[in-house]
Amino acid sequence: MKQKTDGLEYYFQPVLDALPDNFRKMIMSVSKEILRELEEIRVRQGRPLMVYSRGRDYFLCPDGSVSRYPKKAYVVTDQDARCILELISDYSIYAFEEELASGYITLQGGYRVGISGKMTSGKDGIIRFQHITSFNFRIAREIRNASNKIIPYVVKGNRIFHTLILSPPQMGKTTLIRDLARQLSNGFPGFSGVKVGIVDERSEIAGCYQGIPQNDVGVRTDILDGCPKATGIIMLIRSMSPDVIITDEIGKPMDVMAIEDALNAGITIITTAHSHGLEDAQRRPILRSLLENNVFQRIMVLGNSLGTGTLEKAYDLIEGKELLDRPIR
Amino acid sequence: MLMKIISSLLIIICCSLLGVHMSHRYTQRINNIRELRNVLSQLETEIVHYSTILAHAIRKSSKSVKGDWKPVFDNIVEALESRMEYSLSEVWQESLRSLKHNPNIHKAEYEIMQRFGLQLGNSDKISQEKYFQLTQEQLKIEENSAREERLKYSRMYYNLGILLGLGIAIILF
Repeated sequence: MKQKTDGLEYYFQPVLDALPDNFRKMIMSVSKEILRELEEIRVRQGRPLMVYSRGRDYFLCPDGSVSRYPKKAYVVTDQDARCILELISDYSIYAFEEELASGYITLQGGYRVGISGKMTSGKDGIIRFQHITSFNFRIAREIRNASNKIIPYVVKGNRIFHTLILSPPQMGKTTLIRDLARQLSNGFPGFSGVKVGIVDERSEIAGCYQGIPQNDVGVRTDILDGCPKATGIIMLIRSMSPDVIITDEIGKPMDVMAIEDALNAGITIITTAHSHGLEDAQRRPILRSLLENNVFQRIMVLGNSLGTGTLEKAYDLIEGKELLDRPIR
Repeated sequence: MLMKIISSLLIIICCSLLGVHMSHRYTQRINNIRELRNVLSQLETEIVHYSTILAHAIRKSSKSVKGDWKPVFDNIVEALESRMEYSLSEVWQESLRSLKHNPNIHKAEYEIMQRFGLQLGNSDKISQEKYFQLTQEQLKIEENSAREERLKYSRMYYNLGILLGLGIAIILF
């Protein structure tokens, strides 16, 4: 069912397709200002339906208006929850066993639905969902050229530096490296494209649906979707001869070993980590060992002093100096 | 006299055809069950081994099906692909309803498929496999009983048709 309203095309159609009809109608009648910056649709069984946009949340009322008061809001029924589960899995729960066990499903278009509910551990020791009662539809946006601000610090001539991007959650890390992958892969004026490998453990960067990237990650890009980072990095080195490997959210000791393997193979690594800044990162054992071994040549710190996705600081670790005198966006 | 003979012959032919038609229903039922079991076994492979999305799996498995079940599967695929708000079990029951009064399908297999629709797609592969096996077994029992019935009644209806025709013709003659 394709529905469009004048001017505002519903770029998140796959998300609407995964919602029951009454939800679709409610969401369609929300004001365009909210829809344009829609970030999340939160569905919790037995509780009010909510949308998150422009930095705050709104309760959705049955008539499609938004409210600040939960009392007026539409309350999600168990029928709704069942219906959503059928729709997001294309009526085929059996085909999404692994995704369900890891807590999310990727829809067509690369949109992700986080799920939670009652879990139970089976005889084989694997923990599975017994009842799924909460859904978080994340409306990820591809922001083209989001990485323009950091490219001058990451690329010099035809040389790409080993880069670590530090950022608190929800500051546009993934959007940034997705666009970085696209630009490095396609090339841009003054830089010819290189082979890029992405290890996309949680299907966030490329948003693969059945192995095909739904986001533009460039023409010279290969993706290992749903693969653990450490294994994926080593597989890419062996099989796809990438020039650059891009991956998201390192944090395990195994990741560090894989990154060192990649460096030894002469491959550039660009990765991210949850952190509020360099000092914060140095307090965390895994990141500290990477920093002390001088693995990375550039550190970029994201924040929100000038709005989401502000580049707060850029460090050049080769010469040990800061590259920015003030935050840029 | 000629008229009498012709009309008597017509009556005998009509009644015989009626008998053939009645006895043919038993064969049709067996064919339908057999087709259904074929579809289910293909569907099981698609689901358990290839994790194919349900709509694609049904479409693929029911492509070569013949007989009365064909429109039901077509209907289900179409409804699933339209992504309306119906749940699978609603779609399933609704599509099945068109066969409720079909003389070539008995209540037993109708109910087996009704129950099957409640379980299809909504669990992991191991459970799906179990439902398929259970349904296959139940359908096999129905197939066997359909065969027995055919042995018993098919011939009977056939003969009954001819005899009825002859009877009416003799009375009227």
